[in-house]
Amino acid sequence: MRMPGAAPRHSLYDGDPRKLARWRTSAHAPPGIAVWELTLRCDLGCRHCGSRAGRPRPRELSTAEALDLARALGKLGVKEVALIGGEFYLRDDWDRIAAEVTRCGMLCSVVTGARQLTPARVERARRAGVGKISISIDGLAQTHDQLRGSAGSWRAAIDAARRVAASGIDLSVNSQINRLTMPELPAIADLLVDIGARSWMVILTAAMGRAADAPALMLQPYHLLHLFPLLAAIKRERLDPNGIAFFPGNNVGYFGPLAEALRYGAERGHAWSGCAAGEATLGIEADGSIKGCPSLPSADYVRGNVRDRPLADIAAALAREHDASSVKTSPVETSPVKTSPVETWGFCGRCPFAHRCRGGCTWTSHVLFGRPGNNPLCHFRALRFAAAGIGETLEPIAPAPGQPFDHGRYRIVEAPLGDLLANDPVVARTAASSAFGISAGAPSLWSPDELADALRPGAQ
Amino acid sequence: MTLSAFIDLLRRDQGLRHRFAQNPRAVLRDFAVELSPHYDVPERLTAAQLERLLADWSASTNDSSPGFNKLDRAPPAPAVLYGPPPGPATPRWLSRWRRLFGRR
Repeated sequence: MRMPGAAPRHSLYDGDPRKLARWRTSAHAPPGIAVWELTLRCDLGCRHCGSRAGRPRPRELSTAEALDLARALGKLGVKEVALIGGEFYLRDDWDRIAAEVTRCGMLCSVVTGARQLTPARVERARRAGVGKISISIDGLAQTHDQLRGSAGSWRAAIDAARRVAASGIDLSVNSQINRLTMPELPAIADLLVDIGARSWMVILTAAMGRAADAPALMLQPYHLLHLFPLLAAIKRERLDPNGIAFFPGNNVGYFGPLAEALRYGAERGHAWSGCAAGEATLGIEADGSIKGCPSLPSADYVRGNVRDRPLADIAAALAREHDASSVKTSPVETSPVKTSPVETWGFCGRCPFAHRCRGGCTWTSHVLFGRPGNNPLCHFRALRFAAAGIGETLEPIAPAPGQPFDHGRYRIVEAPLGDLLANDPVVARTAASSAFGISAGAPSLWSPDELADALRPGAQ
Repeated sequence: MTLSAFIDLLRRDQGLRHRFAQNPRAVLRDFAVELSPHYDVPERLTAAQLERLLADWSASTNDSSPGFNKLDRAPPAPAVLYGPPPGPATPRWLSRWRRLFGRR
């Protein structure tokens, strides 16, 4: 096995999406990125973890099977393989797999909580050719430690981030956005500059797995009214001047007044065009199960296992499923447009962007309602309701059963927006963060009791 | 007083806004506002800081950015996520041919 001597350098992202390894050269190109859960074993106990990671899955892939899968991904034409977990480094052979991904011509990146991303492991990553390491940082120290279920995890993540930045491997940071982290986002942005991060990905905490057990943790749709202006200000004032690329996750959208300011490559015509699971992305579970996106609930979206069928066959089936779209004329334009088998419903069914947006992130809406196509976590939608003086709220009506990648059920309740905003601590603290700033070294904007309350199972 | 209630009060009371901008720490203390000690509250507030604290983002439907105003116009053809900018549409017969006989 060849171990490259040095990690490849990647040009700093300049807003052109074609610079991304996962860029697809045509609509018929294979998925650009595969996100591969190497193991479900984990050394953290994150309260938002959709996969409820901790113990390994039964029958995780052997080393030989994993190396075969890496080669199959290369043969398929995938350009980037992101290794995740659980915690990727808790598999002893992780760097053999990473090196094989690199040897097959793909960019190997990893996503990690970095609780034990030691100097030795960073060096192993460098030698295996890992090109990018994305470390999870969710707020100030106490907030992060509470969310990650491990005292000291914030300090470990920061120390690891500095080691990665010094190693020559691109350092990225990923952050969950929820009620606890939203007011602390400006402090994370300041931290990015300090630790030498080159990019930042943010994602809304979705109601899957352990997050489904803590409804009080998740943002309500009307919170997006304040989140998006905050993100735009952070990008404009802190990220852009420091050359830090901003990547809003696929559940941060859609088509609102700030969409173009926030989405990468928007000025070059790049825009959200619906869930690309199975078309642009693949998700791989540690036992070889394949789905179109790593976040999707396994029970509804796994389409095969590489132990039973070649990866290429499963990928082709996923692509066909994505393409199983009728061509019809949209009521708002005369040219034929592609429509998805995803039926939009509720507000999304009436939205003028429905034919293009297709209800936003399949994962986010599926875990709320048991099916995709209606996504209240949308800035455009929140503004539309706000114009009528209404705010949507999500109310849990059935708990999650307690399995990896599971979810409960929610219903949408409309309420006067003024009443919702009048006593909302998330909105008020976000405004204060934006106006005053947060002291350097602050441990949390929340008291220990408030942190505990937000994470208490079943609390709303 | 909660921070939310105090912000609401500031929105409605111009005199209080002026006094708050001149000496925010004292006003916060006078009203016993429940505020985390970890905010970096300055001795005086700039107009921009006050505006950020009081901004009503729910009323931004008049935003003039192009994305929002596309609402009532025909949106452009769908682009491929991570793909190239929209170009000429692929003929349906060619898409079908690729689906049936392979494209990879």
